[in-house]
Amino acid sequence: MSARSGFRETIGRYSWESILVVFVLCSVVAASLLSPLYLNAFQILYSLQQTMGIAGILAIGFMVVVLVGEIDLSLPAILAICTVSFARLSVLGMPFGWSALILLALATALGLANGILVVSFSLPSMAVTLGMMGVYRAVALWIGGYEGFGADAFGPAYIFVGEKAIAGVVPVSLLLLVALFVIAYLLVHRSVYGRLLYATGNNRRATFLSGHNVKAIIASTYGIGGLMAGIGALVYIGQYQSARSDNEANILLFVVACIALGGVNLAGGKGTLFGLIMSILLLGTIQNGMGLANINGPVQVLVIGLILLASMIVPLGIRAVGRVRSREERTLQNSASAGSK
Amino acid sequence: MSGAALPDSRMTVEAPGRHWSVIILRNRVIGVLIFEVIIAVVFVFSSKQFLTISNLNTIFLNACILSILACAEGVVIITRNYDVSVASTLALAAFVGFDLIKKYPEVGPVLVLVPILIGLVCGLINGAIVGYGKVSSIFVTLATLSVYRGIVTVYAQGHQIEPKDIGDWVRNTVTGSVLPGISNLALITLAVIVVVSVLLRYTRIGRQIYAIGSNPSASTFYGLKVSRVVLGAYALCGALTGLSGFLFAARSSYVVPWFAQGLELQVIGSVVVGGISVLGGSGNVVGAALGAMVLTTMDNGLILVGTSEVIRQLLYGAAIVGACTFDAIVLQQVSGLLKSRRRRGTRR
Repeated sequence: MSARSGFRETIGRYSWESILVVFVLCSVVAASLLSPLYLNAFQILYSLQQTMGIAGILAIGFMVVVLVGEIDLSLPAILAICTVSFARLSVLGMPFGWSALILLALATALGLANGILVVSFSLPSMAVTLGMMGVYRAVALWIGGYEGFGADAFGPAYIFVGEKAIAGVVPVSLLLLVALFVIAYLLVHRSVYGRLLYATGNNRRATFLSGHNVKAIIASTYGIGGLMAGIGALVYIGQYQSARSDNEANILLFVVACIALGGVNLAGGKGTLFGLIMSILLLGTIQNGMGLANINGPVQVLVIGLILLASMIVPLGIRAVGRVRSREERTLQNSASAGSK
Repeated sequence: MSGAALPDSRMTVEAPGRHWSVIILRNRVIGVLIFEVIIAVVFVFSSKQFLTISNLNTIFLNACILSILACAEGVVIITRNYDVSVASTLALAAFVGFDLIKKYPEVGPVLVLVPILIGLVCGLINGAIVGYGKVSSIFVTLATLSVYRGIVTVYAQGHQIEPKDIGDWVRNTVTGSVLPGISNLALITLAVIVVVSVLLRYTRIGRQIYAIGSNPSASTFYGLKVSRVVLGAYALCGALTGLSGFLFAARSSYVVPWFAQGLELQVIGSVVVGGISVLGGSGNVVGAALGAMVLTTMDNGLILVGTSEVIRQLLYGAAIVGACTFDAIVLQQVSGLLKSRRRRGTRR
């Protein structure tokens, strides 16, 4: 009895995540029915890396920012700055280690710049990062020029992360993504810092009053977001072997869809990394299936947008039903207690 | 959002009405106008072509459509929400509207209503989810941005609207002039700005829009139907976006599925530069329209001076960041003043 109620409790607490698991399994079945090419370990790993490698890395950074109730729209622009800078440094002949170090630090600094701007004047993050998106894209254009860089710009060390696959099957970038997920899990769910993120997202004032430096916490999440954008750039240059100032200009929708579908509350303070991973797998599978079924790009974008909309509307419906049910229960309890008197 | 900020409530100023922040807040629109004049003067001296009748005309006509869009977006931003789907709504309204004009030319000018209605429906969808669902507006409209754009692309099926598909009555209404010397486009824009600003300033729903933007929870306790007003604001925004879609398409004569892509940055930029606070509840649409004028002048002047696209994009971004930083500082000062005045009031 107690074991069963424990199971039910776990399911209840992670209801959204369990729904996602079911959806992922359904989508895998649907995709394998839709196309005979789907069920193939190499195909699945490769397409996951293609569709979700960069988006997943960005989503981790985006989620950390969203957890404290903020948003950073400039992450793809930071990624673009890093891709063109990688290309520039590679052309200059700088060893990969140095340029990676410099650019990851630069990406973190650019993210932090957003964060410091937001917290020091308590500005609305949406407007600020929208503006910074324009500024960062301009910087990327200044570094990369209109043409950008082609495959010949990159040294072999630069494209290693994004291009190579270990034993020809497991892409390095997928391993990197898994490693980042593990680190993010430890950071978000198993550390004091992670608790503070949730606390800040749920009640900023209470966190401030209990003696924590809320401004530093918020600014640091932007820094993490920037760092993730830098790592995403590292994968990008290997995967596409090109760099332009408009790289990944349209990825924001996909990342936000991953976040919202993963059950991360967009107002902050709620959501788990497991949910994010599940939603990434789900969207990756759906996109992979659509690609195999020859559905063209605009329709795919439409479908992702509809999924994002649905992921926002469906919880509202569930909440409304739950409210009605709890009201019924309360009236039942009231009548029962009235009867016992 | 601003929970982390603790305005300095110990500030004591004797005459709150004379404090610089209050003066700036009251005269924000005049500030935009002064800024416009300054950049215009700079461009007059740095480029010979700037101060010609044809160039000024171009600036003005370009600013018209952006002004209507800024008006529309401004109404939503005053309610403390965003609508980043304006460019997609515009494209959807323009494409479907002009496709019907192409297919049924015999129906005539009644078809103007089609883009407006499509925009209205798009706005209602946004507003219903944001208002009644209490979902963060940026995420909702980011989703509808892609959905509307996807619908246009699927609807278009690779076709586009060409100048020959656009009826003569369309061209005559938009680019012709009823009053001598003044383009109809300018008249329509002026009418929209006047109507919307009168609506916001003198009607009940207009005051409710400001009340909700400046304090949503107080408005709820006061008995305002917050969800319904937000829905109304989005609906108005959508309808105006549809109208500007019609005007934009008539002016540019070409409609493609990726029509006006990325325009939302300019629209939000003009709203913010025009003095509507992104924190909601302050500013007016005349300012937003002037903000659109400022951005268009800047764009035109910088092109004439020969500045690269890098600088222009940088300035757009910096204008948004700078204007909203400025507004936030002024707002903090004012709220500090109000607090100190309230404390003095209770002491008495």
